[in-house]
Amino acid sequence: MYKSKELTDYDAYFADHPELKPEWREFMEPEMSRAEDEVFLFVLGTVLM
Amino acid sequence: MADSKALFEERMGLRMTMLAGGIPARVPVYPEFTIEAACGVAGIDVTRAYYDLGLVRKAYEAVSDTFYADCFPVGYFRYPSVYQMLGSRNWRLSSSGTLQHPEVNIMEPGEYDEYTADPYAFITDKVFSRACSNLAGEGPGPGLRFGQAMAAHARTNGENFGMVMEFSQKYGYSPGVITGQGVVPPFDLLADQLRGFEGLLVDLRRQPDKVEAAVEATYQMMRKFTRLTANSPISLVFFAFHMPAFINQKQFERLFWPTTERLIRELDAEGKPSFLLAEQNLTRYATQFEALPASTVFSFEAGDAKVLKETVGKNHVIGGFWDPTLTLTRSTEECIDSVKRLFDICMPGGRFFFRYDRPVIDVNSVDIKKLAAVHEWVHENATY
Repeated sequence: MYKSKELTDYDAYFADHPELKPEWREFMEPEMSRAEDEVFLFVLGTVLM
Repeated sequence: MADSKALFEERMGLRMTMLAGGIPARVPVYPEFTIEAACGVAGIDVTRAYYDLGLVRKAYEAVSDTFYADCFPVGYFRYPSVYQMLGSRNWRLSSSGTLQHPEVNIMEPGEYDEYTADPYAFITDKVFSRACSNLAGEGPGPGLRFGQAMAAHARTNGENFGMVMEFSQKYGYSPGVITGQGVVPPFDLLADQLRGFEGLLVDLRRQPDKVEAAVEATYQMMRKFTRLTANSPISLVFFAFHMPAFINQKQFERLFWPTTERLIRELDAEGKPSFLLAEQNLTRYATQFEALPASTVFSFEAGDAKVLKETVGKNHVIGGFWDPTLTLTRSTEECIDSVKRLFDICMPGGRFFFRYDRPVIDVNSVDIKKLAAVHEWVHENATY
């Protein structure tokens, strides 16, 4: 089972993936953050509520 | 199309005048049928409609053609197929085709500290696998099934609300009062989804401090939720109040109200007014309700309409109260008389809309012809 905090700890994530260049992170981090927000809304707004 | 555009403009004018505290030309008619009832009106088996949006369209047509309404009259936003993909315990399809939310006890009484430390982490790490059997277990399966359900929800929801927009355009419906994202009061989330009503009522006596801390942590999570939901300026954020009827005044004032009031005030400050569905008789909370921002709209399932009009309804828009199941046992004239008595209390000064006490969930609980006649009467006679 994953730990939810791992999903939003981007510093830890990118530290674990040194192959990802800084300019890629500039694109990836907001994309991952937006997707995480959508998951959060689905979890609270549909699965749970 | 020209007629529907004119209708839309008239209805939007009524709504905006009412919400602004003015006196509209007439009382807006905002009924609500669930998809189960809508299928009943159309003579369609709802268990088939859940898996065929073409049948949902027929149900929408039947209700729209049968009943006068100023807003889209069917509420359908929970899709059984999505909950079946999740293996959900908290949303289950009954044999008659009603999607039910049974009493669930997903969080243990000894887990408050862990929940309070990080509610969302607790939900994803612990609650998921307990609430949804298809999200339990190791390996890629649970994650893949979660992705499947989320994708299915996005597609079905998009197609369904596309149809709602299409009907709104065709029939000239304006938005009614149920228009925006649903938000659960923090206390209700604990009771309704995590501890269960029964479990939480025990916790209120045995560990009220833990409940209070958990409600505050839930508020922080719900605040993030309300920041992310993109409501348009004409939407109302939907709150249903489940638990206030089951707790006493002291518990309400300490545990339910502070975080809920804060949420509503913060939303109001952001230009997002709220719609509160007061379940059961909540007349005893009129003092708290009337102190909320004037933008807050109320629908009451029950209660003393005169007291609530003179307190809450003095500066807020209110509706509800009227029981459509009366149509089964009374004549059309008697039904209209009961509406007239309610309107004599609630119409003066404006700030009032016609809505049932509860949505119609079963077509057999109403007489369609008499109910349609009541709608027509309100449309034609409830003028200022």
